[in-house]
Amino acid sequence: MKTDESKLNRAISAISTQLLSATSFWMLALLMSLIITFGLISPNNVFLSANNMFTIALGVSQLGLISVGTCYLLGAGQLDISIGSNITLSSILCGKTVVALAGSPAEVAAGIYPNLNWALSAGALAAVASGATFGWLNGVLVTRLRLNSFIVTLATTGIGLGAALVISGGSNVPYIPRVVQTGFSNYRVGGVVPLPVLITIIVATILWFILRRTRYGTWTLAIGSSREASARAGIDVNRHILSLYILMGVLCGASAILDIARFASTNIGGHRLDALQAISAAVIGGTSLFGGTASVFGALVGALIPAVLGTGLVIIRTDPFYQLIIVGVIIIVAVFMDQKNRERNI
Amino acid sequence: MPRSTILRRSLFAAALVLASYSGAKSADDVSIAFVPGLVGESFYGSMRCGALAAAAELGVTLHYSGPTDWDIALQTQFIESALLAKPQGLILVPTDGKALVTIVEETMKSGIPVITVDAPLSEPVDLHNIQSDQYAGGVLAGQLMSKLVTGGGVYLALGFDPGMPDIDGRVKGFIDALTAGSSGAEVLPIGYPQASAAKAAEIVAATIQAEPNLKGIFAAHTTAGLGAAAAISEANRVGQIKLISFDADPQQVSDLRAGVYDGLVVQEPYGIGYDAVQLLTKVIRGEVAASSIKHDAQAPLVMATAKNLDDPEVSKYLYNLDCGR
Amino acid sequence: MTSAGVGELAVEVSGIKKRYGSIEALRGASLRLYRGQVTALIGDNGAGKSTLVKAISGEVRPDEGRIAFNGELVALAGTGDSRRLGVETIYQDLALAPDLTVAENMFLGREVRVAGLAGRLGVLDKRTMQETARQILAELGIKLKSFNAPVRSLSGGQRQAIAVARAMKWARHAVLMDEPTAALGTLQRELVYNSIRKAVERNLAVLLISHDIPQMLRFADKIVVLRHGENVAEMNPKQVDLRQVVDAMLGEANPK
Repeated sequence: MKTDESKLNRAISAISTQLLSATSFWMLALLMSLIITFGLISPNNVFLSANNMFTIALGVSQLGLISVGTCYLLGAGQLDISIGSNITLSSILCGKTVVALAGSPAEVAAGIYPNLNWALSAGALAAVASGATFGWLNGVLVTRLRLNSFIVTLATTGIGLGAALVISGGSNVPYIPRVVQTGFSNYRVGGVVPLPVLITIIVATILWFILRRTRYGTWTLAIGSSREASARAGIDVNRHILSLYILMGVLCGASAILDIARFASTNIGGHRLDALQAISAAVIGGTSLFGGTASVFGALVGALIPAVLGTGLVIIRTDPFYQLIIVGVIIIVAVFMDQKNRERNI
Repeated sequence: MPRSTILRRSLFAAALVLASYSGAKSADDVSIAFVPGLVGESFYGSMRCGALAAAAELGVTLHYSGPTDWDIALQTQFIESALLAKPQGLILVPTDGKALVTIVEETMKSGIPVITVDAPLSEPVDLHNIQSDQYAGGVLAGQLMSKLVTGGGVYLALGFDPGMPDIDGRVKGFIDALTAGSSGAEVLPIGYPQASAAKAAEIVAATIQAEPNLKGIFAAHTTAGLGAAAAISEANRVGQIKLISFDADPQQVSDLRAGVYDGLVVQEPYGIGYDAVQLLTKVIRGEVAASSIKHDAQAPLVMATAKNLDDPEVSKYLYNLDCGR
Repeated sequence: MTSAGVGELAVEVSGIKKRYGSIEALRGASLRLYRGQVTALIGDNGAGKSTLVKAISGEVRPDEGRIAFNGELVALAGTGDSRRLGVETIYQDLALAPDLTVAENMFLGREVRVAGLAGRLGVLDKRTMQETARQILAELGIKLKSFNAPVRSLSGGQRQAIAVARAMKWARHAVLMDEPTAALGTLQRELVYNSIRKAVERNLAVLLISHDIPQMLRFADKIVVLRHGENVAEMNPKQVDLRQVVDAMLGEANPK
């Protein structure tokens, strides 16, 4: 009896120690307190309404996808700042494909889309293919040229955006069927959950599982923790890193699809800060900038915090610039906590 | 000048215009540099088309290049490299009206006339300035909003970034006209989504949640309009919350017809580009004396609605992008 | 436990030559490692000890020479090959991933997966790996306060012991160690030597590179001395003293 008890106690204390040292736990607590605070001070507690919660989640769907991808890359000690350009290029190609295939130029300009369904499928495919290819290019340059990922993706940021501008002629793709917004992005599953939110949750759950429970996840973190040890252990480090960039590219393509669906338009200039936001979200959530530690759940929390702040400040009619300051402070706190965890002898 | 010479020169100039990106030019021809505020927006694309059309007509070489972001640091590099090529004239959209005063002044002094378009310098050191009266554009929006919504209500205006004189001018025009035309109208703190449609959607979605009495939104630029339209649609309030935006590229026009927008304030960027090149060329060729030019010129704006879209008075303003590269 | 008999030849290396540019790191070195025995590889800096170990682990391709594991000739294309063939190497930097747990490190690259389709997709059998790791640590007498903590939070000696435990788990013929106790305190050294004794009990051959000659005299079964890339002596620690080993190391350069 006594040994069972002490075993249980040890298990509980081990779990709670790990939990309390997890940055993502504290960030979740922070997120909850923000939600409760805004809920209480907003007129009629409107902030706490389910509608508001789902609206915030909808706004965060795209960021959620790329934050999780960033999680993986950071976990392996890589950095991808070309995310925004990838999304921009992918959405341009997607938009062009849809508009080209949905009908003749005259029909499309008049809002008639005879081949709508298969044009949309082709467009989605184009987005994912473009994203994956862009990611593949990043991965090849990083692993073959053996250049720092920051430098490589800095270069591809410009290349990707330039390509997008050349292909689009500098303006957003017009005549994208509005049904992508009304019939897809606005669609609520069960009348409640916005479809993009469901998609992001499903994708994030799968990626969470892969990171925590599969060999692929372990190897990702091993590479970020010690490239040397991983290579010595027989892991094909370059191939794994390449696959991570392709994964990120696919997520960028998916994010581009959600973006076009939401606005029924491409957004050429609107993705400049995407990479920064994705990295912030991952870091706030406990993913280490130095590799070896990553949290998918934390990245989602990290993506939600700025959105909750932004929405809350608007609802209580306060100067929205506080959001920037507060998010900056939170990032510092998260990185500080990560540093402390690294130094601590548990 | 004999016709065959004009023809020869025009053909030659046209060929140069086509090759203008490689920077090829001959000493006979007038060459003008055009640095916009940013590339990648149909507004400036349309302005470029108008400029190119005038250039082709007059046998002038036009070099058009600008930054991908509305950023003074980025634009300065483009201005400097444009000047290095020793153009005979410069057309400029100033991204920072104060910071660019010095460089424009120096350029003018060195004998290169400068015309600014779309936004002003803080001091009139340039030869000429053509812009839409942004404030008047905002007023058109405010007036329409008062007509569309009767009886008070809460309203939201979306700018870009605080401290951008033309966008802020539009917002101010809207607010002034709205409060004058609608008694009991309450205007919320201005939203600043910058270039992010997602941010604009976040602001609008939050406002819709918080303000049950929200009646109308004014988006002072295209991207803000995109975001606002998405949020209104997501909240299922299309038509109940009036949306007026600025600028009219083909997508916006078709959206106007479809009822996504209740009104669009349309500028005439094609005409601005066209007129700027015309005037500058005349000055360079000595056909017009610089001293005889009035500094400020206003380009017209018009309010387009689904109803008046096909009136020739309105439809001539719609952004024309058909001009190739 | 290996099925081969005690005292059998686990690793045989002969005539290894390796040149780096104008420097001849190894000039025909050889080594015989027997099961159940601890061999100490001793030499001055630059004598070629590390290079020889790297040749056996596959990290370095020798220009000439033969390597055989358990009586069979091998051609090693990389470090993965030696591991696959049953010879484990512990490097000076330990090659542990600091953020991963003990169990994860122990099975890195050789993870146990669940059965069936899930396993083929890569789903890990974490419980089995953790159980196995616990058993091995218990066998070696290594006590950890928190088993699931990242390896980074362990002491230097504990990390070394983990590296040794890992090598022992996977080795079928021999374990090679490069300076396993440099920069460790006495207590921690004991941990490591304990683990090495266990390896020997399991009928593996152990090769140690060490500068701690007195300790090697106490601990090793055989001492091999390298100088300038070739063998100069093979000694029985029970029959020699420190002076003789140092003489062999330094050769004529040693002032008497």
